[in-house]
Amino acid sequence: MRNLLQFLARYSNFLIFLILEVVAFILITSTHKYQHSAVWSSANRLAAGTENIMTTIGDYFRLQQDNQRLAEENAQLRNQLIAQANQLEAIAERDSQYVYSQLDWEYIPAKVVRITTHNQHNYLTINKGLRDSIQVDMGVVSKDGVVGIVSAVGEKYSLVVPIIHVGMNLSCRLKTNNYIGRTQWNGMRYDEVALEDISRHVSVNVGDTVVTSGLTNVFPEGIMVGTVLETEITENDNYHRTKLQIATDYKSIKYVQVIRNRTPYQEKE
Amino acid sequence: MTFLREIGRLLLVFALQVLLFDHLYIGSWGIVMMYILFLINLPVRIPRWAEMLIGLCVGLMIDVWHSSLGIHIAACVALSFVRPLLLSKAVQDIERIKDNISIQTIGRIEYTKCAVILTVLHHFIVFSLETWNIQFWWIVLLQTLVSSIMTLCIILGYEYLKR
Repeated sequence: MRNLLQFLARYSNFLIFLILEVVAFILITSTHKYQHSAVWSSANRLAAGTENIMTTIGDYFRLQQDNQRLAEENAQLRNQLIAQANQLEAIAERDSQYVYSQLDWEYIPAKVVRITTHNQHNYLTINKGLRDSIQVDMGVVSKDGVVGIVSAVGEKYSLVVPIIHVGMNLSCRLKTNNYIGRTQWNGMRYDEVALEDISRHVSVNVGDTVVTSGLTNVFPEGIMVGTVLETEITENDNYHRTKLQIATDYKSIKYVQVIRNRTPYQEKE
Repeated sequence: MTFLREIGRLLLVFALQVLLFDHLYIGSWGIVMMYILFLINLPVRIPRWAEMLIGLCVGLMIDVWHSSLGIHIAACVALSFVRPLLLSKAVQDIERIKDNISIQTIGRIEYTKCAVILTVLHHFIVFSLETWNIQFWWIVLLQTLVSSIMTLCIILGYEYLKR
């Protein structure tokens, strides 16, 4: 017993060191996927609040460019609206079911408070939370395309996992031939992501558009993910090795929309 | 009084880190983590267990901001564990130094040596835990190298310019 106590006293510092490291490892493994708690991430009120103030100050210096961008986006949206209205009219005459399925989604505008693009596990913090009826697993899009999926929700802020996060897989499909694949980021460039699971018999061409698959309840079908940047396949490969140019520019992203599915969520298994 | 001064230092370093240096990076290779300056410069008189707890708190603060719970904690605790060992090796009769560790108190060469070793250790732990994939070992090494140089430029630059 005395020896044991002596041993403990002698190596007490090392033992404390070990205990603290074990605590750190437990924390890492419990959050390593991408489920976070809002309090212990940058969706926490203090962190997000400070970042919010900083971006607000920064915004004043970019008012002119932002106005320009908004004007362009307005014009674009107006064009889309007209095109869509025509489309709806045409479709509604023969298939009213389809029209309703497009109206099931609601868009909640939000502002990006903080974003990282240089880590392996990147996150966005947005300024909408529980009180704006944001929930975990909702999809987030920008005007250019898919941004990510909500992973933690605080009272006023939420944490979003973007496509450029090594733990993130997004179900998507090639627009030309409807083949389903998924995105997988390798942690390198913030504007490129790999497209996996496209079998060798499928034809993939540079410049092909890739959109969301609509297989999950998170995103509606047909939202832009990116375009094929390069693709190769060797004799032995069963799948294409394809790189996508991500449609969303994560470096300059400021405003996003959180997508809410109005139809009740199905039970998760 | 010393306690309050240290708290002030911590808040200053932390604010600089999250508000300024988090936004300065080169691609995904080089990021600056100069907040470890606070841990490197702590006085030697602190008991070792307390030093490790301080490391835990500082790591936790950074982790919450970066949404990377645990990674910086592990690195900071390791840094705080190694620092006293390193200092007692590098500097003779280290106990006589009452103030914070700096170039003035322990000398140029000794400070540079300690800062380089501690920074590389800390950065290596951060990047290997973040990548968590043995396949990408060369990325981890490259990130550690580039980021350590950037962080050391800031830390040593500050220390050398400080009068």
